[in-house]
Amino acid sequence: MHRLWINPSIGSSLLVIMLLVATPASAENMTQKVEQILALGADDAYGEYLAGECIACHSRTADASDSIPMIYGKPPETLTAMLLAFQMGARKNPTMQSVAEALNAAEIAALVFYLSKTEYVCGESTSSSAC
Amino acid sequence: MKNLTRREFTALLGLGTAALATPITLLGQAKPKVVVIGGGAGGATAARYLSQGAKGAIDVTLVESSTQYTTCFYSNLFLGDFRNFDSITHSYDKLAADHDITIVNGYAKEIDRSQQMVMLEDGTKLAYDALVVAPGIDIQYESVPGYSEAASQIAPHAWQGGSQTQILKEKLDALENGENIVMVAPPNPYRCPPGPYERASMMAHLIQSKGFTDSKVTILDVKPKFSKQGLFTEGWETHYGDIIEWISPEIHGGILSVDANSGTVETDLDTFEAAVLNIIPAQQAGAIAVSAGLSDDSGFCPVDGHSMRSSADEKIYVIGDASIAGAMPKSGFSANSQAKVAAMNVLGDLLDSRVFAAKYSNTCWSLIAADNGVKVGAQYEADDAGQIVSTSTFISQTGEDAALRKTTYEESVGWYASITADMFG
Ligand SMILES: Cc1cc2nc3c(=O)[nH]c(=O)nc-3n(C[C@H](O)[C@H](O)[C@H](O)COP(=O)(O)OP(=O)(O)OC[C@H]3O[C@@H](n4cnc5c(N)ncnc54)[C@H](O)[C@@H]3O)c2cc1C
Ligand code: HEC
Repeated sequence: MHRLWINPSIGSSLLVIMLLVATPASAENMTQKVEQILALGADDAYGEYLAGECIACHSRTADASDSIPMIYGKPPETLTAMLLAFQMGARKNPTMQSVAEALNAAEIAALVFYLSKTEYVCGESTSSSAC
Repeated sequence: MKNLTRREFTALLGLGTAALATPITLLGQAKPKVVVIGGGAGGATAARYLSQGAKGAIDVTLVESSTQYTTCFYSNLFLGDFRNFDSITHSYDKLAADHDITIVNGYAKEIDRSQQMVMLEDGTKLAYDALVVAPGIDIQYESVPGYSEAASQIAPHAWQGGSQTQILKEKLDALENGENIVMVAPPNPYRCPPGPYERASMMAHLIQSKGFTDSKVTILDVKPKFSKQGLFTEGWETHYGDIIEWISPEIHGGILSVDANSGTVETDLDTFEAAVLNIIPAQQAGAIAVSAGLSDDSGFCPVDGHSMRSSADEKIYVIGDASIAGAMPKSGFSANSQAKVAAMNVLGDLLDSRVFAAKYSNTCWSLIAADNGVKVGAQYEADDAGQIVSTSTFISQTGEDAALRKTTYEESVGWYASITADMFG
């Protein structure tokens, strides 16, 4: 827990991490993993290519569907923690677990920095919390 | 004259890497030309990603014989009254308006590979530096004895979108209690492995929602087993009792002949009679891919899984159902995924832009009954031999609760909106 407070860049993913993992020890472990991945840095051309997979399900229009959440414009640490949660099976959805399992650390880093910079549009009949 | 790639061009001039920042068009060279044949799931995506990635540095031309595209994906839901026809039909207007793509409404009749030229039926000639071939499938009518293109107007296959889907829908809507439906399911490989069984589910759903108690759906399969079999069998028993009967080739002994006019299918076992016949024959790559010599004995086109480049011609990429994509099933999702890898490689060839290791993905959802969706999917990459292999897979489980099945169905609704926006939006 303590670590999370002394590293402000990780602050925004604190909530996500605490919701996803059962114990403070695993939260700390997760925080470390997120930091390690983000330290690999951005590669936007690679991120854009990899995001071609995501957009088949995750539309950039926020009202397309509530069943598939908006993933654009979120902080990189939040996205990383979410992908790791699917990868570790802490969050269950067979599709997303399979998607996340096929990503290595460098790929996650490239993806999350690109996705966080990607804008989304709010549709007319949106009920999405992203708008 | 052969168009040079950017790498060759700068090398020729002895320019250093600084020159790479200058668009090739400023150096007096004509823009490279890319032609995409087929504006379906694969071709529309390829054209879009080519135009997006080239940012004006390439002329992208999309050749499509129809003025609009009705998806086969979700066409079963149209048959089951979960969707209307308009909602599965897409125009090319947005693709043309929002992207730098020349859309040519015409039929590609021939590819002259030595001249790097596509000939259209109306005589138009389109030169290319790279060609993406995405014509989907052709139906092998003669693979079912007695069946023909003419017979498909009476006994539709509905395995290509549009009018075939509408003919089948009209026949299903005209069904009366006591009348039966017979489907002949196709041999592997064919587009959308779970498709026939999702369709049978939607047919049974219609029978049930009309309150018919004496009508049945019989599937005469030419395969001893099929995709998501456990899930479908469980769902059919739960929702439809004995409305759907699946008969394996070991039982019926083979399809001897089909007579569309009298509505009969003769097998070793018996002669089946139906008011609605849905005959789904064997399939092969679209005619243009075959006539251009891109296919092998299987009727489909071998490619290098690292790029979707044709094994027969380095200037040509084959994507979607027409290709042999290793472990990937023939699906709209797969075609969309392959299109992005092909587009990246075409851009690499022509503009010397970065090319990353190929990664592909697919999920096929099927609707068994209202709010009862199941899915199967995988992630893929290419191995050292250039074969596409799966790296992780998943499938819905039997015995899942109703809430999960509803969520799975709702995911597919989100997916349909997203992927069609990615193709045509
Ligand atoms: C009943 C059914 C249900 C399905 N459900 C799903 C599903 O749930 N999910 C999924 O992912 N997939 C599904 N599919 C599969 C999906 O429809 C195909 O895999 C997908 O359309 C393949 O894309 P493609 O680009 O290769 O071919 P197509 O989408 O068929 O596109 C080919 C295009 O090329 C054009 N064309 C062909 N030849 C020429 C030529 N010579 N000149 C000009 N134009 C030409 C055609 O008019 C067509 O528009 C389903 C299929 C069926 C039949
Ligand atoms: C086949 C469809 C599909 C594909 C492809 C896909 N996703 Fe997802 N994704 C989903 C679904 C469905 C959910 C909701 C899962 C749940 O909550 O159970 C989801 C959830 C997520 C979430 C959690 C978002 C939140 O706010 O809770 C993230 C992050 C995410 N996906 C990222 C990605 C990335 C990155 C990619 C591409 C590499 C990707 N997804 C590809 C279907 C998909």
